Amino acid sequence: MLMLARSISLRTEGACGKNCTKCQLFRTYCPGCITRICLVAKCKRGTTYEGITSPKSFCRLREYCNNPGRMPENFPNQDKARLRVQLKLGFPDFIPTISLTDRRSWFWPDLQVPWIAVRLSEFIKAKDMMPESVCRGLHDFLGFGGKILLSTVMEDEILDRLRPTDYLEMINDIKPDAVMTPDVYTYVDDPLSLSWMQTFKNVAYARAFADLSIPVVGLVKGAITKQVTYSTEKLCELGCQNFAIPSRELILLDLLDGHVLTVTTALRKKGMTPPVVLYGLAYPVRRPRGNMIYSGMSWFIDAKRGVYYKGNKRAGYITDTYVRFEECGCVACKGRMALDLGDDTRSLALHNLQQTLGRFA
Amino acid sequence: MGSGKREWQVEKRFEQGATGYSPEPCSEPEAPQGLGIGEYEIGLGTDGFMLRRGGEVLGTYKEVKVLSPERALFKLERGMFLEVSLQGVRKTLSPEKAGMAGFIASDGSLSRPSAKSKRMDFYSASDELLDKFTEFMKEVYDVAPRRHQIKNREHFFMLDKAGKDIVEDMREYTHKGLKKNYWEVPFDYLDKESARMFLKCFMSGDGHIGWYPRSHPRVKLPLQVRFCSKNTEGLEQIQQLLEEDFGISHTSIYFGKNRSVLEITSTEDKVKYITEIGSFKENHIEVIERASKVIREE
Repeated sequence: MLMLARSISLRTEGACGKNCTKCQLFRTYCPGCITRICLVAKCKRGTTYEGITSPKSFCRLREYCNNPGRMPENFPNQDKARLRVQLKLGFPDFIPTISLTDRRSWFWPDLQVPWIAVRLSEFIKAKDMMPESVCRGLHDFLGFGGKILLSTVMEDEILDRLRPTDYLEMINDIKPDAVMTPDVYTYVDDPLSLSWMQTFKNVAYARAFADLSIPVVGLVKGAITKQVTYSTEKLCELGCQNFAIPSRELILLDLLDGHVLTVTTALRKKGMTPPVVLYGLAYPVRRPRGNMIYSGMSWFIDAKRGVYYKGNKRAGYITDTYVRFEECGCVACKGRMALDLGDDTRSLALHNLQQTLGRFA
Repeated sequence: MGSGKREWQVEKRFEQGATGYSPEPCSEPEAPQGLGIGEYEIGLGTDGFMLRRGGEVLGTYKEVKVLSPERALFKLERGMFLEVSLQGVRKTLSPEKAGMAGFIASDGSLSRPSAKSKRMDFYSASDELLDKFTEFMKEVYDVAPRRHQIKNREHFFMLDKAGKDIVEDMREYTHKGLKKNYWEVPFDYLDKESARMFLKCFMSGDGHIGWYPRSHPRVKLPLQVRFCSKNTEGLEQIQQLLEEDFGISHTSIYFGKNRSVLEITSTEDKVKYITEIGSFKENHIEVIERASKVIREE
């Protein structure tokens, strides 16, 4: 009995001093403050992080700390918006993500793939690229004959600036073949009220995509299981037939398995078994792969750093003794040794991409 | 983005996120006393500084050096600075880190002895260089390298430090792993102070400052200033750095079978080199002092 009382008090009273019982989300949606790694709670215990909670006068989380009565805002209303295009996309096992600003990652026509992913953030950062791609059309601008998925995963400071109308304007200008719903930031060490507000934003902004005339891939976000479930359910209600999870950081924290399980369970409850795109991963981590699709650009990032892929793994830098004399007969290497690709980043990237695609064969 | 931990994101993107201990309660933020550099504004608070642009806070930092009304440096982690100037914002290497890059480019290496380990080495027979490299390592990464004597070689030591993070971090700026013996001058990350330190440390390792009165009896200043390396492209970049940052333009590169040599040819530029840049090596310092004495007497 004593144990039960203690566990309830831990959940209702956050380590930051917040009383969760006054929150409208408590019990129905949220289990209360269950994380010990919350940065506000850590700060209360004396541990600060430079650039986040230190120096204290510029703390980014101050509003969640000095105001224990603050509760998540912007709870979405019961809007019954539905996507105009509800189409299950036939993605391949691996979707290469390319860099729009670095032509060395444009691997066609040497290699043909049905889908590629491009990043919206690059259009925002390289402003001079937008008019040209709008004028010529994205396919013509890239010279790519396949289909293009527009990724909305981007840096937090850009996310804070964008409104739904900005997204719609850019998507209508760029004209991709499919687009992800807007990204938000839901860090596991943020106060839960912040990650809840971001999850609500994720849902509210996704609804603004209802009138798009292209298929929409639901980007599932959330810091805790309840948020992930909420996000998945709302995207299902919106009519999404394809889903994506930004996975790069989650796998580093060993949270990806739990995240994927939560998403697939929520989808199964809705009677759906669509493929889920693990965005930011370029190697199969889940076996059996089943409905998992992978998308990433590590093949290119590693090529720029001089890393050579061989089979299912990163073999090492091309200057390493056990790599430099490796010979490969692929369309990129044409029998050249790894060391000979040193000055030819495009060929090394193409070689790495082929090895990556081979992992999914 | 925005999955995983905020702490990791801040560390990866802004080179911040170092932990501290501060049990005092939070104070109310004070109104910043601003300094404007172009479109950027530096605000002063009770225990730190923040960088803003158009009202948007770009970051908060513990230390800032305002070098002129048009240039300021915010201290980041691992020997990096965030330079704010009228041209915008960029990351620069601290002089200590640039010095490490110079030492490694000359007599060091970033290697991967096995598939899982990475190592940074610096070889030298000069105590002053070994001590200087150790000092820089402590300043930048807060670690000291190990010191080993090389077998069968009298007074020739190797400093090494194994560590994936450190090696990856250094490789990012100078060694892109493209060819053996290949390194490059990190132009994008150098300001004048760090460029000076890079050149000074490279000269200490693979350079030569000599005094040859017998071979040049009629020359008042029989000084020779040379950089040597197997990496000819690297020497060309050093040539460019000397010209762009220090106005030393009279140089020649001699291409050899095993190594190439970059030599400063005009007396005026040699004097400029020894007075503005110099070297840490004792033999070089002796020559510089002797040359300086002759210059003063003139």
